[in-house]
Amino acid sequence: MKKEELFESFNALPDKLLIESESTTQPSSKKTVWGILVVAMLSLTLTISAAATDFFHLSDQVFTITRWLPFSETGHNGIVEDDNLDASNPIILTLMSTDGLADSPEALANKEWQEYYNQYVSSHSADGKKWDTYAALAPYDYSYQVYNDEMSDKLEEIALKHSLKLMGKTQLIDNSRDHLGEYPVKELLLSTGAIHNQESWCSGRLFADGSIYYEGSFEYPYFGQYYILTISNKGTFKNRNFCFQSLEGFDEFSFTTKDGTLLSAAMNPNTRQALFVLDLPDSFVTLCFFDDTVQSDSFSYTAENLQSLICESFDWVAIQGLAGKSYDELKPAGVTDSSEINGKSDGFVWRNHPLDDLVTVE
Amino acid sequence: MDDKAIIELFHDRDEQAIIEVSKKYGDFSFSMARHILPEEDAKECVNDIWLQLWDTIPPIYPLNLKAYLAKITRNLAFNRYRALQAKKRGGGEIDLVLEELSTVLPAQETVESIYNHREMEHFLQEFVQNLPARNRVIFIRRYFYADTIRDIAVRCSMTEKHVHVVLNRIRRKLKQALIKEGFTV
Repeated sequence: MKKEELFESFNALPDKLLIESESTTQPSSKKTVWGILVVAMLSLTLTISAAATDFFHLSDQVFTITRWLPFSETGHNGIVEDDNLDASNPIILTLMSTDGLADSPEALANKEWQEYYNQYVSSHSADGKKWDTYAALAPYDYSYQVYNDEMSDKLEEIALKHSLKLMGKTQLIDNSRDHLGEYPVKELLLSTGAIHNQESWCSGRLFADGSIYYEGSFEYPYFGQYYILTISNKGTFKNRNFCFQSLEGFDEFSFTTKDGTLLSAAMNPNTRQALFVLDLPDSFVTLCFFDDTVQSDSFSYTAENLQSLICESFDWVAIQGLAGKSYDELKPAGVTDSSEINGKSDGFVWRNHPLDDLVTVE
Repeated sequence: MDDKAIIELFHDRDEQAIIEVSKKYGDFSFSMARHILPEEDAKECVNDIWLQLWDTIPPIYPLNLKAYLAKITRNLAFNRYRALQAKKRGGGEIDLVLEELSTVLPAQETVESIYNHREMEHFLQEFVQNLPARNRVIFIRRYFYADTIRDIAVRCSMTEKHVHVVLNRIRRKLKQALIKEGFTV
């Protein structure tokens, strides 16, 4: 059998499955769906306390938005007339900023932007196809997904209001394709001891302000556990969120690592997700676990097991050592800068002048 | 206009059916074809889709017009893609999709000697239906609709890397299942 024939075999799939995947932005899985995220904590043996920490309650950290069609669904002429995804049947998402606690300037800006953005997109979806064209020319990072000057103006207004810098045209280090054969961000985390376990998959970014975003997953005995670690330096608006459908079933607790680092945590054993938060003076660190196994029986989601996973896989002292550092301080030695600028976040480029990528709005 | 009314127009041989279906599903069909074909070819493909709808309804009375349309779109777009490949013209996302699927298959093309295409279709149906809901959507979006990883990530509120991870695991599982069922040497 050839790959083309296998591809054609998909035509025999029942209509109901095609409609399910066509009409659903949030699949009918019982699992909470997490979006882009966060955090970091520390290593070693931990002690769990039953009570939540003083500063962190998951329900206080979230806000909701109405989700509309993604741009990619707008087609060449504008709005798709999809009965299941129109304004009368919105998807409500619950978001939490990965850049700060709810009352921080970063989180407040993020909430304001998300609300504006989703409202704008819902009423201007016919402009969707301009997105790629504009992104290449826009002054701001691809991740803001602005596609015209009006949106850029609003972005600047929000940043100015909260005294935050914006990310510039590109992100700095972005290596998430294994065929490139090098993983600078992973190497950074490994060399500093921040992560221990070797992951089968990795994706990382080092931003212009020194913030770090890293995705990984574990091998045996934690196979199938996927995580996202973010170390977000304060003072920059990065538009990143955890995204989930429901807070129902989350237990909150805190624990202290051997080195004395107090971590706040929320865990849902039913949806098999866990979130850890560490608010530092210069950075906001988040770490999210979620089970990614097709058959989700390989790892029992208990606080004790999560402690073990954290102890074996992360060094929280090292993670805190990375927080608040600049791009120049973190950039791994021996990495070759590239003068190529393609304006896209998936361009996997090394920039020559990282500080040019931070934009202060005046 | 709802789908049932559009189908009735087709059955009545009313050319308004073409106008209505293109109005309602033009963007959908183009978007889907565009994942497989270059833009100009995708536009031409969409015109062929309306023609095929006209030729097949009646006698067919689709229970779900959108799913029926999706399959026609996919078939026509892929046929055109293969014609373009013969002329060495590049496709779109479909090249990546096919490359990924090739990793699932045995190295040698010996399957037909044991199983026919229909058995593969049956096997695939069962495999997909047994996937967890979220993974099923991701898998179908990628290998039926040929959606980009980015589109799937947006649709499912996941990161692109996570989508890669999920797809890789499903492909591995599919390969194991194919081998177990004898779809190999």
